[in-house]
Amino acid sequence: MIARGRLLAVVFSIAVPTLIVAQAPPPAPAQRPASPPSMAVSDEGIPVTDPVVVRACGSCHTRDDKQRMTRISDRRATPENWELTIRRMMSLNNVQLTPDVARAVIKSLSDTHGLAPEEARGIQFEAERRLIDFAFEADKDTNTLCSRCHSIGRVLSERRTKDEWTRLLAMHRYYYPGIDGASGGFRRGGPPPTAAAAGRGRAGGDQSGRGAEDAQPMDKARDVLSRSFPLMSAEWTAWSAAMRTPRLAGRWAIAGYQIGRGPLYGQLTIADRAGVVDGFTTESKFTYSRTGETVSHKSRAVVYTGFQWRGRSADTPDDQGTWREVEFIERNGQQITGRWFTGAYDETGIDITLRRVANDPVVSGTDVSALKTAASNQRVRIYGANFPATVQAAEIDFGQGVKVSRVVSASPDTLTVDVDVAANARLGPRDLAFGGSSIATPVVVYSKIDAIKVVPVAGMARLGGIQFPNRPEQFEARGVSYGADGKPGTPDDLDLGPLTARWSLEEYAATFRDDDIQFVGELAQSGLFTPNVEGPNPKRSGNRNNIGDVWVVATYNATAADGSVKPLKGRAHLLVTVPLYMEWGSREVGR
Amino acid sequence: MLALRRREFHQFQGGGRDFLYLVPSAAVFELDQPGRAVLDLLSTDAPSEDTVVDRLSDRFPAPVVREAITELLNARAIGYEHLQDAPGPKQLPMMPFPLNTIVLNVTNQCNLACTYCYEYGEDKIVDTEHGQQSKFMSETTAREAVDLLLKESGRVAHMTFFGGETLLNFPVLKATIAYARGRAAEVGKTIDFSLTTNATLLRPDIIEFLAENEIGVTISMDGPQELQDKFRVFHNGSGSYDVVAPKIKELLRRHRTRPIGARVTLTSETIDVQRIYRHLTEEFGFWEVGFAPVTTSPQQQYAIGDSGFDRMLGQFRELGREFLEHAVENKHHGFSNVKDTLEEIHKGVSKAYPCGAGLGLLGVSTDGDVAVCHRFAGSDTHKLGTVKTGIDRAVQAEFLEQHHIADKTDCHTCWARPLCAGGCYHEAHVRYGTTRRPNLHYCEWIRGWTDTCLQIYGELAVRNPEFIARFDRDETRAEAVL
Amino acid sequence: MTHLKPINRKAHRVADLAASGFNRTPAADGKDVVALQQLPGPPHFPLGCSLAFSPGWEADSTGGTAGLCQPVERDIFDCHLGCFWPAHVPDQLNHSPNWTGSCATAQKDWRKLDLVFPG
Repeated sequence: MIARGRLLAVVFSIAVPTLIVAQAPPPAPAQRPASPPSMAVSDEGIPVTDPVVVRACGSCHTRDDKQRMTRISDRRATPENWELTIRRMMSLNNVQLTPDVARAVIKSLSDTHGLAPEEARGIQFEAERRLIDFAFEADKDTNTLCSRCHSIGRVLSERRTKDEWTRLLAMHRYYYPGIDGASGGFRRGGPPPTAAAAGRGRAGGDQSGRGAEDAQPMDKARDVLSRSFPLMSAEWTAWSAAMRTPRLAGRWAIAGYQIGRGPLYGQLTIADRAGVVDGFTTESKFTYSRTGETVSHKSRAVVYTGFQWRGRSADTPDDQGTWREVEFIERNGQQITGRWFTGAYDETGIDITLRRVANDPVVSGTDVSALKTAASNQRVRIYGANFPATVQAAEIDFGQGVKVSRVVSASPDTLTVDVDVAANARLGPRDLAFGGSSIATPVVVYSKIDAIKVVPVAGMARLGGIQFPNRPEQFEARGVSYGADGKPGTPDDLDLGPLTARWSLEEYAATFRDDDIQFVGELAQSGLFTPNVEGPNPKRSGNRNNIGDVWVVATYNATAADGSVKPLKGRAHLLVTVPLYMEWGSREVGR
Repeated sequence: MLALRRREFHQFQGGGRDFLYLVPSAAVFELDQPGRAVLDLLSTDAPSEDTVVDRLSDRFPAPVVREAITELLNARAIGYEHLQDAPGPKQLPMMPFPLNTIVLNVTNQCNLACTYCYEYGEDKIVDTEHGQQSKFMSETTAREAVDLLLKESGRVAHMTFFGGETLLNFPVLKATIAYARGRAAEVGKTIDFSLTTNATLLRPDIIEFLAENEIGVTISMDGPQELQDKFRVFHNGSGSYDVVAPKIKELLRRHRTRPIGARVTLTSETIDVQRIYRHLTEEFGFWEVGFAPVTTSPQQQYAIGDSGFDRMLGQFRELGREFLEHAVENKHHGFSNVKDTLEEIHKGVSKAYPCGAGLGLLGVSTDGDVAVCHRFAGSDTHKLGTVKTGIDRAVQAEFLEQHHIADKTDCHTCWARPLCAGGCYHEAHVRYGTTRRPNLHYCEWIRGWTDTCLQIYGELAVRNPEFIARFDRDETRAEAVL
Repeated sequence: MTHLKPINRKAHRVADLAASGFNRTPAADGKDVVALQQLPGPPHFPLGCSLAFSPGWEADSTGGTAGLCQPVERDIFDCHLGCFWPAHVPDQLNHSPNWTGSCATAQKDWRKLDLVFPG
């Protein structure tokens, strides 16, 4: 399996020289409608002072006396979005840069024209390449319009002046003329009637060329985005002052989770990387607590904007088995969270939390995630760092009704204990406190497994293997308890963590004689679905591709000990679909 | 505590026991004493569970009553007063829906002039005499119809030949059957044939052909001579009984490979169901007889009025009782109206549409126009496509969208709707001018007859459950009684 | 069921459903509808799925695959020329005018299409 590039999402920068707009003379100040975007940089533009950037970009992006460069100064974005812009400059605008210079420009602009931590936190999923359910709730229309073609996270990674947002939309229409039509949705009823009318409209501030009283979807979006994501923000102003190279060198405790494989724990060391500004190297070792399998891992990383960690396990993006790291460094420098991922579609990932290890004990988590009431001697392994040599059972606190009856073994990073849970222990999540450190909800207390669920509840796989890479999907079965009220779908329901189930596929009958299940691929007993190959399949009616939708079913044979005697079933929907013919993942960020 | 109320069901008795027909699930349950007692209490007011237990405490212990209440709740026979029943979902069938049966109008010409005929009578919707359609279906068109059927069907396809008088176009019928058999073999499907005829043209060679080829046959016949000759007349007014009787007898003698049925049209003047049945089964030897009230506008002389319906229901009940006594002893009885309804009750059918017209069944006119069923063949307003161009899915979707029971609000309070769903489209069109109205003029009749069939079903469940079990075993093709 | 004895097939199904507990507990025969009930009303489209449905790239407008152009290679020129899905299929207007250069008949030559790294 070739781990080539990454996936998804587009941002378009507006190509400047080709968009000349017919303008009416500016109206008298007394009655000003919105003026069309001027080519000068705005008053609030952020100066660009790095000579590398000025040299690389200055032949087209002119600088004014305040060192503000046209277009660039009016925008802030994530490293990934800056990379895409630069790549477009090279492919469509004849810019020639060596890879070193390109990387330097990405780094520089991400630092001086980036997002503040508070601005980036909600959209980390975009850089982390997560396939999740997310919508821009503040404005449903904008969300729908922008996410027709690409992830909305791409849009929310931008901060621009109103003029810059306007140019962004104009650029979409220039490169993709069909976007005015029904499938793009920028305009109701297609492109403007005549060029003259369009020009008149633009003079009046209406980019759609139709009439301001009947705002087109693209204009509504422009207004929403300009209002919600302006160039300047208090958070950025504050962060620009506080931003610095984070001090990360030292030891960190790893707590991770990989769907299908369960929790993992270990230790990681970060060291400064000589000769690279904001560069770091890591070395780590971690163990999957379910299987005991141990993995060693090394990476090199760059931190952008003072908190955006971007790492890679190998130097070139095309190396087989390359893992990328996208992490968020907390301001207090004590915790880092993010995702490590690999795969042609970045589909295989580990959710990572790193906690700094100094001298005091640090608790990372436990191997089991659920404890049953009225049961004794349940074995739990607690992971962390700096655990003392001798530990008393009473020092380990899970809360009411849960007692650590004995400490079976203790090492600096692992404690093995036996736990008794009373019959009247309160059902619900428990925090674990030990040695001055505590961790929120590593376990829940439950009385019986009421049901199981399969995650992801709506999965996606892509065909591939001949010419294009495939996207497998890993499923996991998790126990569910309906909580104290015994009713499903209420707030007191508990997730009991992963369990081993028997896996099977069932047809999702969308039409008569639906036969997807014969073609879509294979589901292993590990819960990993591997899709079939791409291309027309002569064995299928109409030479169709091997696409389809099916149910992924997990069957769990509950035992009396679980509190239930009949087999429990859960299922998830799986969409097996066609490949992507483009790879949008960043290739230079982090190198 | 929460107040309980009755939900929707129809209570009936059979074999001395109480039964429930639940609506709209169409489930049939036998009710025991405690269950019946609970329901009786709820018929007058809306007590809480505790109150019910209390009031029945002299007859049944509390756990028994509570258990009965739980089961009635689970079966949705009862519910809570504060929770209203949601209206049935408007769920359209998955598309493309496999075609089950296609009815070919091989001709719209007829050698009889039956007074009540919906094709020729005053209520006709297609002008076949002076209209533009061909009088006879060509072999080419028939072949195209076969191709359409085999393209859209599941593994088993049914083809029915109809008319006018079907046998007027025997050559095309014969050629089409041969062609269809060949094509079916090519595509690996099974195809089955039947036809309806007035029996006047049953020549020996035709009889031979039908028997050899296992074609299902339905004879349109109204009964003993005086009833048959009232309406089923030649163009000169003379009756057809004397002509058809010997031919039918010959057919029944020779053709033993498929059951042969008679299809009787009942009118205000021919309502003597039992006599007709006796005559057709004993004098002639028909395996089964199906009765249908005439489709007509109310002002026609032969239209069955309210008192006529009452008499007809009474007659049906008598014959139904006879059927029951036969069934109890596992003896065959040919009153197919009952048998067909019993099968639907047993399956728990809950219909969104009154029949498969436009869905699993289509009619084809002589020119190759596809209609929702044979009664609309040749009519432009109910055209679903052509055999050449296929089924127009948009038009079909619109038809199904417009005729769903969810939109027939008059039906929503009727307990018989799972089996009726508003009734025949053609009937509605003749009566009200539109296919979208339910046939409110025979609601009383439908409820009366369905109640009778439920009672028969219940009685069989008690006295001879083995008869009912047959519906599960012999899941064979239903002969369409047209 | 003790007080209600199922007689017809529907009644047996109702009884089975009741015996299995109705409210979202998976039945022993496996007819579990938990996943379906957990999904909100409109169809679910994974993040990044194109929501331009003519006919749709990853999914059709119902969230399934039944309505997609099949095989995708059959219409790939139109996707490429008409550029309906600029984030999924390279466009021929600006970025990749030669993407189908070696691909004369898409259904046969689709292997000669390249994975494009845009930018």
